[in-house]
Amino acid sequence: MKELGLDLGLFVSQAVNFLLFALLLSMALVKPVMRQLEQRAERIKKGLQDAEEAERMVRLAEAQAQKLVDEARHQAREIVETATRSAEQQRQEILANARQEAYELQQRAHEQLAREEAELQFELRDEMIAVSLAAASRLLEAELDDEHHRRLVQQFLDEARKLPVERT
Amino acid sequence: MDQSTNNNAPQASGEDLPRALVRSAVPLDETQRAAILSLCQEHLGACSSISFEVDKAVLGGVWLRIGDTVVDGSLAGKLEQLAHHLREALREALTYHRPSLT
Repeated sequence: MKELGLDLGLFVSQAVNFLLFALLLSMALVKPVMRQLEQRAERIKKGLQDAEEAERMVRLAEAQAQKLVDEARHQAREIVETATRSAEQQRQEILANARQEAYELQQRAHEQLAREEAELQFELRDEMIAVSLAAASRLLEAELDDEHHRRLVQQFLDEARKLPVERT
Repeated sequence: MDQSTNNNAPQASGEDLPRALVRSAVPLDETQRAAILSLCQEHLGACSSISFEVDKAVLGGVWLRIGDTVVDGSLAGKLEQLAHHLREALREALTYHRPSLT
């Protein structure tokens, strides 16, 4: 050792001093630092977990919001479709009722017209018969001579004698 | 020849015989009047009296009423019957073609 210029006692004492210094340093400084680092790492990890949780919550909220929007759209579409169907049904009913009323009115008008036409025909024919009767009466009155009258009276007597006999 | 009787009228007794009325378009001669009187007594029942009237509306033939019985042998009556049948036939024909109108 001496040939190398080293003093063993000094070397040992220096080594012991270094080990003591390292031990003290470790106890006084490294451990708190390590603990601080661990705490910080823990906080960072927790922060990351919180961020992930927040992101997950945000995604969940977005999904729920999207679901609500979809449901609302679906309901709105159903409401619109229902209202459209109802309106169409009402329109069809109104049209059907209007057509039925128009048909009945037309039928009544036709029947009334036909009745009036028939009544007019009855009246016209009655009038024609009355006129014919009057004309025939005048013609007979003018054309009948005494011989005709005599024969008509005789015809009356012949036919009356054939009637059932009445006794009082 | 049309004969009609009101059956609801009270029957005449022998002392209360009905009067007969005869209408014709021209005056009837005695023979015709006698024949009608005979007709009344033999076929239509006895009558207390018989009156003869001239009515141009009869047109021809004889219209006779004795009590409630009317025997219409006049041309006017025949024409009226013809007109009645014509009216009924026309009404039936029209309603046959249009049954909804009845």
